[in-house]
Amino acid sequence: MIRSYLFSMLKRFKGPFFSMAFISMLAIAMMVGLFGALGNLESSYDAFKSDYGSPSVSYYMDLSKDEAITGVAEVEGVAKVETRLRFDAYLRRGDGRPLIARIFTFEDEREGIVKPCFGDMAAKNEDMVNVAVSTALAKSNGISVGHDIELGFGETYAKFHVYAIYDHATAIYIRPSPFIASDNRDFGHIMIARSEAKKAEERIIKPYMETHDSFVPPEGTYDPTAVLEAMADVYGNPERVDHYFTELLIQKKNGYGEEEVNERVSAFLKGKVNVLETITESHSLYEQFIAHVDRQFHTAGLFLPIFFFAVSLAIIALFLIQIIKLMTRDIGTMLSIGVSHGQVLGLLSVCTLAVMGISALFGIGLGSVIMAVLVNIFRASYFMPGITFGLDPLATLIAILIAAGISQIAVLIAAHNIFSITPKDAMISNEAKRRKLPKPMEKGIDRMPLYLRMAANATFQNPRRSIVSCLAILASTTMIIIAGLFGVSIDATIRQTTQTRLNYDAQVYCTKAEEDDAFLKDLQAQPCVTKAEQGYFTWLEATHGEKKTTIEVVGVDVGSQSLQYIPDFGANGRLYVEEEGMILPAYSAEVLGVGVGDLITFGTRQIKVTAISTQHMHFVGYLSMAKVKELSPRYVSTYFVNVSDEASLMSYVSMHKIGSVVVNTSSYRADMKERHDPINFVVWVITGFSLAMALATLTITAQDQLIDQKKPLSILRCVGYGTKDISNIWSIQRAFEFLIAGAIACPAAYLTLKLILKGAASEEANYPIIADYRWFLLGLFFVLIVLGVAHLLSMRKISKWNLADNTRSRE
Amino acid sequence: MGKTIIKATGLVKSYGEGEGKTYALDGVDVEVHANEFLVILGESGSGKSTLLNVLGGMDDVEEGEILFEGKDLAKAKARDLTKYRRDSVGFVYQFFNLLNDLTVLQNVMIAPGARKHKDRALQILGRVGLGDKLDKFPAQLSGGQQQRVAIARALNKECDLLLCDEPTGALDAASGKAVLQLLEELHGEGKTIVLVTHTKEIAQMATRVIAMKDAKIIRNEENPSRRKAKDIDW
Repeated sequence: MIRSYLFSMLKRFKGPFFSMAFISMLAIAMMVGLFGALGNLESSYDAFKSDYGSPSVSYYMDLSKDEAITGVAEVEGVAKVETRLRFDAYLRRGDGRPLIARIFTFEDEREGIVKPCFGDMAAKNEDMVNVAVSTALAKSNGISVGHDIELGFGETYAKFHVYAIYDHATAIYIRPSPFIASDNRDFGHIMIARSEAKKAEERIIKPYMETHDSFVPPEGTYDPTAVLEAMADVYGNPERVDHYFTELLIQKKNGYGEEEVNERVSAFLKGKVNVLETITESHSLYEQFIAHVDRQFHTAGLFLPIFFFAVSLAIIALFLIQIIKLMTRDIGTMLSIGVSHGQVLGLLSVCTLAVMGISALFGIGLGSVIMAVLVNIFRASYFMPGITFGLDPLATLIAILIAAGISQIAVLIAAHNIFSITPKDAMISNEAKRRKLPKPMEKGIDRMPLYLRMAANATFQNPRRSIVSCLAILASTTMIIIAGLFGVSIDATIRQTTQTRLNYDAQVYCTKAEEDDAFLKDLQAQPCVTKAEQGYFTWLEATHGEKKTTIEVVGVDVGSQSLQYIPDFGANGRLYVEEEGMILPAYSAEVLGVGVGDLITFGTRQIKVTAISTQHMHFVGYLSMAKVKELSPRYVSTYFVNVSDEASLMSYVSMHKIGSVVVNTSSYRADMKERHDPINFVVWVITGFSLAMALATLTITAQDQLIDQKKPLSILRCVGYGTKDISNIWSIQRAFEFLIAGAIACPAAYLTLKLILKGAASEEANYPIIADYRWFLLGLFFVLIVLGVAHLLSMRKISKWNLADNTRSRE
Repeated sequence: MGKTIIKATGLVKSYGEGEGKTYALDGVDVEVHANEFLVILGESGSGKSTLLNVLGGMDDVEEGEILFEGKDLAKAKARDLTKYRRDSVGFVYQFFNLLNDLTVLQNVMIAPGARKHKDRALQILGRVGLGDKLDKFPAQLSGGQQQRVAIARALNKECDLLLCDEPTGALDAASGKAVLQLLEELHGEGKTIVLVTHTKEIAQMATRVIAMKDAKIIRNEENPSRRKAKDIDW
């Protein structure tokens, strides 16, 4: 009998059971999809790190002969050594204007890893140096595979054969560069196999090295500045002569510390090469970026399923209690014929488990779709074409178990309603049961006009149903607001991050060969230049006690007129450099363990930290130009320029052969936006889910209320109320619920988002929370539409009622 | 015989199809005249309640015509039927059909149009002997009291036609008698009463009796020997 009742119960309450299954399905799908995709991202990234090798210590050195660094692999603690070249050369364009090309090498044996990043390919030309050119550089300069390009500097140029074009962003996967910004028109990336680089060495690097070496005294102190100035004199114009690096990447053995290995290798290299920079922490921007993404998705992966499971627990429990209430007479009848409370509880338990089984099936299916879409987005956005598809079996199992567990917890919550039913309930009409409200409330309701009174009674006589409706409204409104404000936050973060670079139109690079002040005056005198100011940039090693780090430093004009926008997220404003003191990026402050007012040491000098600047993904310290000159003889002059006519600036630069111009483009901003696409996608998918859940739940609670109130509503129709009048009563009730839930949703969304952003933030990324009131209104508006649809669907049913049938019986 | 208020002809209503088809009304013709006390008598399943529901605008028919003030209710739109139920007819049910969340006074004032007339509601409640129960909820009243509230609600609409479906069906004899006496008084004041019952004794109150069996009218005759409600026992 119990078994046969199971099917009739599922059929009778198909609406509420559908809602339970639907919301559980969303929760399962969210967890399965997120953890599946995240697991694939992590395993792919681990494989990448294992293949590629994340260096424990990196050394940037002057261009070195191989024999100078032979033997590094034998130093104690060194597991693996890789050398690469990185050098800047000029790409000679058809119109004569030079374009800086930053050239990276890769080891020949790694070509298998590199090739998947190549798009178009052509045959190599064995007589020439073969290079792969980035897509942006190729597109901006009309380069295709099979073309020959001229690369070089000064008077020394050689032809290079383009055999492949690679997607710059994708190539990050195989070669994490400090830069993940997109190609600028005037600054392109080129990749070259080590064996090909050997050929380039002979053709353009060797002449440079011979000139370079001729200025290095065989004995005595090596003064790189003097050598550079001498070389600039030789070439007659500023060249990027200080951008030739050998990168020596060391992977340490297990059991050795980074510092320990660094000390040993540094001791080995001393006297053999000129080490310009040592990096002992792996703060490759790409690695930090992926770590940051991982943290974001773990936050989402925890929060979102918890949110959906919590909502599903509440809805399942409330619906179960409602079902028990409607089944009171049936249960009373069952008890009167000898069925036990436990058996009834078991019936309910089996019912909900059956429903969870169905939701698990569909949830896994939907989760697979979410996982697949996310993986595709990850592949594109995070430069990992090799991320695999697949669900995480453990996460899937846990999701199913949680759903099953929640259904049973809900049954237990509802259980006391079963145990309070007695056999006598088989005979007592539900009509006689009226919830007693507190007297002041009764009085208050009594004074209301009729529609309001009926709506209030309907709400307070069945508060569970109203709570479910409120929950559905609350959840979906909250999600819309969160999704909207999250987007606002991301936009603000991107804006703040790119503000520095996009606060001026262009940046002109040149070396110290030019007289700085004279050049600046000349630049400012150009008709196309509306404002120009000078800056310096360099890399400095800073220490504080035992801690040290290398900071990219920019020397700028002091005061508020500077074109440099130094972001201060905390105050949502900007900071200004003072004559003395340094504005330190928050990340470096964290590494050094310093705050405002502390002193940090650069060489033999101490500088006070006057402010901490929170920046996203690109950390720069700011000093006055005078201070930079004082701290470092090696710096690059740069000029921040606002122009009215970009072409005129380009002509001026070409004519004076002063170096290169980096024109700020919106692609940097677009790139950053693209990097946030996956998390944005996830947030909006969840919002869509929430709206769907809200529509299903609100429609079902409305239908449920119709069943419950069929008789009184029919009576109203019998005494002369039309469907519109009934609709008014319901509209008021829905309005109650909307106002209550909406009022809670706004602060709930704000506070929840604050928690999420705190969880997603790191030293590298700090998302501000901005309460854009338009999203609050939009959230409420969309949910109002959902309410309206649910309402209309229900009203259609009322108009089809047979009043005679509905008023005939006692129930 | 007074003026004809309702004239229904050829009413047909059935349920099911094919061999399982059952008729609730099978070609029924009926008229309701002003100021009459019409009793429709029949056993359970005879079609009497269906006929009353149809006359009350709460159910539809497959065939036939129901003329009220020149309009055919059988073909009326939902809006017109709502208007009819609101303005022209009061219905009293076997199981009272009061709204549990409203007090006695609120139940009586529930009808649209009646909401503004509190004084009238109070007067009617006093009339039916419930002047001291205004703030009670239906669950706090006896069956007879509830039925009197239902009658008061119907009266408060100020329509002259009262349709009563087994008004004593859920009551004990004493309460039932009290309800019948009330209906009798209302009839005496000029109301038209149509009452459905399966109790032969109650039919003795009628000015006219229509008997139904198997969805058809088998008898339609004046009642020459009316009896007072207080003299009827069942």
